[in-house]
Amino acid sequence: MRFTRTNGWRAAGLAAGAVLLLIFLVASLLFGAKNYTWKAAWESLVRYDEESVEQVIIRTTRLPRALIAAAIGASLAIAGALMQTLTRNPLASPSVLGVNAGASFFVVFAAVLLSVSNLQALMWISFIGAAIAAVIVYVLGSAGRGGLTPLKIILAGAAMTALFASFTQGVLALDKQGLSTVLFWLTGTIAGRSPDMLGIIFPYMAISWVSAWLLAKGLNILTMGEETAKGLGQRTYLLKIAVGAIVVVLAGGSVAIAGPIGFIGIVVPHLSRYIAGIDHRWLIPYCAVCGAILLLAADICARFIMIPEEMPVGVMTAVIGAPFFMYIARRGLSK
Amino acid sequence: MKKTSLTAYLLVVVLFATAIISVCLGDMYISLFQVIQSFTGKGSEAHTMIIEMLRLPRITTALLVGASLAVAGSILQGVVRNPMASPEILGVTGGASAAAIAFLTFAAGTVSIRWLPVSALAGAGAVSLVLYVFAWKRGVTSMRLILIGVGMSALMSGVTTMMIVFNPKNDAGQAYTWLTGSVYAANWENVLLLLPWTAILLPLTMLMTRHVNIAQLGDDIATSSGSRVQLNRFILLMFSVALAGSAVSVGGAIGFVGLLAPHMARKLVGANFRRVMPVSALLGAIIVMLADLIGRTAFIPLDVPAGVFTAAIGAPFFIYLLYARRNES
Amino acid sequence: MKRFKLLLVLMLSIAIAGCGTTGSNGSNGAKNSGGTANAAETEAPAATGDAAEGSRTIEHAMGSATLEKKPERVVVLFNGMVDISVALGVKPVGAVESWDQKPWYEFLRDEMTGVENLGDENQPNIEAIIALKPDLIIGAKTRDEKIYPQLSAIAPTIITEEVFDWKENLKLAAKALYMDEQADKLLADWDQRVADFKQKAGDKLASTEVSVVRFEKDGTARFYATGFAGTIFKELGIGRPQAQMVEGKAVVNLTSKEQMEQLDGDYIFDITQIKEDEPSRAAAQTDWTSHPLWKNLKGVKNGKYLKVDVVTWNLSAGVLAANSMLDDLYNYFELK
Repeated sequence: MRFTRTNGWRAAGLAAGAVLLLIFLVASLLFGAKNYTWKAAWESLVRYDEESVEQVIIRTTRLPRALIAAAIGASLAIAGALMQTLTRNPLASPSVLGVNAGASFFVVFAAVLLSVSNLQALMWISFIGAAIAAVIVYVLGSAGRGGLTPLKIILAGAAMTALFASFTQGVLALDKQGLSTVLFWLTGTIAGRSPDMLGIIFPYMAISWVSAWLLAKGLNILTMGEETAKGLGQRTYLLKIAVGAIVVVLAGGSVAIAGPIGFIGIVVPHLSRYIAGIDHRWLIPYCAVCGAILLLAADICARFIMIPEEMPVGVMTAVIGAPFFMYIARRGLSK
Repeated sequence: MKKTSLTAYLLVVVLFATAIISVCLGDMYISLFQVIQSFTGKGSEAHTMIIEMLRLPRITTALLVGASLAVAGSILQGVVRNPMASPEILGVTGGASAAAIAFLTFAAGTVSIRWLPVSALAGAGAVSLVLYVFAWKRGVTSMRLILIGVGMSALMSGVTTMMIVFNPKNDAGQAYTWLTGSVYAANWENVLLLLPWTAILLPLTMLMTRHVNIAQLGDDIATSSGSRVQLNRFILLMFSVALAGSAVSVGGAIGFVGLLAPHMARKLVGANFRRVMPVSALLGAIIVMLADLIGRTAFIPLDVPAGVFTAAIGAPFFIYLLYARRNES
Repeated sequence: MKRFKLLLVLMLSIAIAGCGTTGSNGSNGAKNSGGTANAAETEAPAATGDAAEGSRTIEHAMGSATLEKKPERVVVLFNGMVDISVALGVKPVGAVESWDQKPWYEFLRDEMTGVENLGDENQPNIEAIIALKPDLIIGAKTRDEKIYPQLSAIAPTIITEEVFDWKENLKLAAKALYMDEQADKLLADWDQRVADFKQKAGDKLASTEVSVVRFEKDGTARFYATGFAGTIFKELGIGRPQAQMVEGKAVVNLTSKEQMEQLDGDYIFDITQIKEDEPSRAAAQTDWTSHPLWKNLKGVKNGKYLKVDVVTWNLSAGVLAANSMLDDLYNYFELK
């Protein structure tokens, strides 16, 4: 089923997506262990009544949760799209290439062994971990004859993920008490995350989103091939570094708030590419919207599966995303 | 050739030395003389009990686990033609982990804990089967196998973590120790469980050396040289899975041995699988034995899982190795 | 060539193994039977030949053990048993360390001087146990099932079914320690206190719902459906909130404050351990208790949100802890 992708259609699609996003945001406010009404949600936003239990729940727990889900979903999706373009690998994403794992390990190390609890500090530590992992994986994947091949970088990413996972487990085995500090966070959970963290990280995320969009044209050129791009006068080296920095901030920031959530970065870019094509000027906004919607949906579902407890959203994305991943892998890395 | 023999001899010596040191060291220091006394039946009861009931089985288990994982890794790296392949990558370890944690979460207490290794092994086998089926598309390419393996291991990881978090008994300590990989309290039963797999598969793998070497040249060359690529690949992968699965079922998810040992072996004796395999086995055994030794002596009275050290030492070493070899393929 | 070397190595290790297994069996005077079988059928331990001195055979969760005489060197492998030993006036030669206030809980510490620390309850140091030359080892199934074969080769080993079922554990320990009278007295005292409590509290016990909660470093909250405190409440006939009567789970984790009402009860007992060097627990506690939903909780409104000692309410899980918790309950329910 191919439809003509004209800018008109794309814009309409994006608008529709935005509406859908709004719907999901509202749904996230309404549904859960207890379902609330439109009226309650509306009032909690405009005529906040501290005495009403419903309104308190909506405003203090559901609203931040919805916003966090949307922000992280968008960020991870964009990060995934950027990574896929940069490495010319349809399976690249922050979780597969070890970026999430690196950020997690650094945060666990700091929070458990160094007892860091300052949110700002944790955010920067997450960035550093993400950056280190990204650099190592990139270097390992490009080393040797043949340069950067899709398989090599995936293997490098898997090796690094295993490495950081082992380290993380090591830290927790050494400090059993530390387990309770990070247990839920490690599964990737949005519930109960503090809105303060979002407040701190959001500016960085927003800047990254905008920067990614501004680099869209450059990315389009890059997809034509590195030699071609260089021939056209693009400074690919700088572009790659800029993109790398954006990915680090988006992935590191998401991990700092909610722990490692995987597969959004793989699934959403594919979906978006299917709808909007490969022009990054459209792809990036589509990724943002679809990513937000997908994570919101996953989070809403996570509330219903294990009542009275809640399934961590990271597990949901893994369970949904892994089969998708395997399906794409089956098709082959044709690029 | 000379160099290889020398290396192998040296490693065997190191292996024995490590074993002997491991027997002597522990919470209680037992001198070599006392060790010999115990063997000849004249040692003190406490010493004899410690050596024969605790240390020897533990050391032997560590040896077998290390050798199995190392060979599993070297097979994979040969078949997949990539130095970063390892049993963890393919999701074999992940499948064993998920099964083991499921056992600890739901069945421990009602079913005897002796069934834990069996369930882990079953998990490894099940995942590998599913993996193979998913990867089958008129045959299985290494690339597809790895990619799907990565997906599988992520899935297994998510499921495992969830079971730990929502353990109805609220007891994540045991699970985490298992996941890190530990040979604490290994007994002779564990050894006997593992030994047949190792003792049979290691020689069998040696028989397939030629096929691994050819596979390293690429599918096309392999086929044209008469090697039945699909069949051989399947057999070799099954060996790798069986070795890794059995090792993990007894020792927990000890990481990095399967990744690191073949690397070190290749650096020492070159890429010929006939040489790489035994050397990896020796190296793997030494690594795990050493890791366990450090784990149980350096933090007394705590007994730190060996997996912590295989990761702590293995990982930076691995990065160094990769960087040093970056211009070779 | 290489393959032979490898086989050589393997054969040598098997040879060593072979020497090993023939040497170590049956090398002590202890007799153990029914070693590694599954859970025992009966909860109540039976002892035959119940002489005050002389040998006894004791049934336990994993088989039976025979003691020649009253044990003098006892090794205990879980926190609850440390409490029970001290209550019976027995000083073990070795014990696993406490979960908190290491190596021994403060309220037990005076009685534990000179006791060898055997490490974590989940992974006791078996070599140290051997070095102590014990004549009795007491462990728990949930912790020591895997090492039971090794333990029973060292000394007669008794395995309890549960860690926090202190009464059963007390009875079993008493049989093994030849201290039946002392145990009976402790139990009788307890029963008397319970009866007294119930009588003074009157009818309101069954209709009072108590909740046991705790806040964790990662910002989550949890409530205890069963556990040590739970068994005591059950014995006293105190009710639990509907939301907390969850089948098959000891603890339920709550990640989002919207689940706040599951923490509610007429009394809310908070067993969070606050430590100066772990600010994140206090932070989590403050986070939850300063939330607007918190003050809507029934227990909070009635002023019945009470912070209690986690050591005696949850961690120590023995007869001394039980009595201490009962003391607390007398206070909180304003009896006496």
